[in-house]
Amino acid sequence: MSAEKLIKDYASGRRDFASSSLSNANLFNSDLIGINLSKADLRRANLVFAYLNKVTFNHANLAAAKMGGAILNQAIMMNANLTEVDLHGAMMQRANLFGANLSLANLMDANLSEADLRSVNLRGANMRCAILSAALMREERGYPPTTMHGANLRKADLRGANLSGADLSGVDLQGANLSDATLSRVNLQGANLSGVMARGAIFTEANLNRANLTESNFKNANMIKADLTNANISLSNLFGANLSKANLSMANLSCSSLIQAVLTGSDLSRSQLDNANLSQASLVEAYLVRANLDRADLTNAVLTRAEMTGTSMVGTILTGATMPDGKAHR
Amino acid sequence: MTLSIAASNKNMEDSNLLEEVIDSLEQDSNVLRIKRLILFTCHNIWSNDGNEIKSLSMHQLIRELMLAFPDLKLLKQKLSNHIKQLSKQSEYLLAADSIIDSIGFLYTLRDEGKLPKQFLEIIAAQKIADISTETTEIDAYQIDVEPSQLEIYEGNAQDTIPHKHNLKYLTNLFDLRADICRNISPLHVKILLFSSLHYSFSPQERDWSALYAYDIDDLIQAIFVAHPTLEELQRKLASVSETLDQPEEAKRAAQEIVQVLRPFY
Repeated sequence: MSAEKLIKDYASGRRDFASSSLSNANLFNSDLIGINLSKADLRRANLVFAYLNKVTFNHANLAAAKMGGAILNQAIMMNANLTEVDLHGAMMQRANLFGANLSLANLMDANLSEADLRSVNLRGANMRCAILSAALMREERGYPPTTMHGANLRKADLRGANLSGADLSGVDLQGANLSDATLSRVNLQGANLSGVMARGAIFTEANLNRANLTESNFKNANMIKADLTNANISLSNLFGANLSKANLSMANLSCSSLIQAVLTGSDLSRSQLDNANLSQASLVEAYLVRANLDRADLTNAVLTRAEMTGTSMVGTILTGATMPDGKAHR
Repeated sequence: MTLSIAASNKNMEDSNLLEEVIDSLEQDSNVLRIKRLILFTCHNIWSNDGNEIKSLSMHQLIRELMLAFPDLKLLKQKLSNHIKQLSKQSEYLLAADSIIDSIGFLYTLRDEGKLPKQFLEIIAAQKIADISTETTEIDAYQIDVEPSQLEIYEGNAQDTIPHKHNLKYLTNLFDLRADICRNISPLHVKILLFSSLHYSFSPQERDWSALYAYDIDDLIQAIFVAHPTLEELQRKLASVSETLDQPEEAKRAAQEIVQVLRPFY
């Protein structure tokens, strides 16, 4: 079918164009609101600035299509092939992309707020500065998790998004906003989260092994049972964060602020806590074997039953701290 | 005649020495922390914005510091007390060392009468404290509650407070971006901003690489910096809108941008 025929038929009131062949079609800036293009072949089609609100693209092939600036609000694009699609600056609020393949897609500056991105393949996608607030990316039972391995999410807005169980290994999240997002059991192994804002975010049982979390803000974040082994969390703000039973073995927390943080039962063995501020922190039953607490501030911290064999404490401030034997520091 | 030449040579030498000290601090790799620490020490003001701090004159800051603390010992004490309130203490200790090393020399010069006279004249010193309207005023309560929060927010604009345009930065770009792009395609916004800042971009062009080089945050920030008044911004966006391939969408984008940036002027 030619682009001209599609536009003509659409204008005469037809809406169902399922399974049409429209590869390379030029539909630039066309108005196709509510059209059904399920299973259509739209490879390399030009849909730049097209009005595609509430369209149906289920199982459509949109590989390498040009869709920059297109309006796809509430579009249904389940299981669509969107590999290498260009959705630069597109409007995709509340779009349903369940099961779609968006590997190597360009979603830079796109607005995907409240979009359904469950079980989506976003490997290597460019989502720099994309709006993903309140987007749904949580793992769904019986479906493969959303994967963003190696994706660029710099400065992405992920506030309030749900990413539980998603695979974000090796992603670049520098300067992104994850405040109030849910990232339980998420795989962020080796990811770069430097400079992120993640106030009140939930990272329970998340895998942050070897992740870069420097100069970030995790104020009041919930990181219970998170795996932070070998993570670099230096110069970060973890004020009031809950790190109970977290594994921080060999993590670098130098110069970080852990004021009022809850580290109950956490593994801090061989961690670097030099110059960290742990005042009023709870370190009950923390495992601090061979940790470096040089010049750390533990004013009024609670270290009851903490294991401190081989802990280095040169110049550590312990004013008012409760020591492992339950007695106040003298 | 000879005397006046000698006096003018002496003034030049004095001011050269002073400028050398200022330059050495300006070129210090820790320059932002040095400036931030001086601002904090003199005025109890903490600024979160690197660009703002960068724009402060080192010359002015040092003058303020020396006027506020005529006694070097007192300055050392004050610096050390202030650093205790910060979380990046080791970094700020380094900054303090640089300050004391350089300024200590200036105190000696002052005592020997080798500083240019006008440098320490109070009338000449414009108060940097004017900046207080744009930055976080730290009160004792905040310090008591969360001392180490102060430094942590460095680089995170989300926690800064309202400011004036003359500081050339916007706060919370996440909210601005979401507001501008709520009802209009972000690409229309980008094309309008890019065209206003660089050259008229047509989506019919084959090469989009120039547009890809900037993200929407970069462009929002740049357009704000480029237009010192709201009227100028409005005029520019309106005139550029007319020249673009899709002027109606561009005009709508212009309206959204102006509306969202209005509170920052």
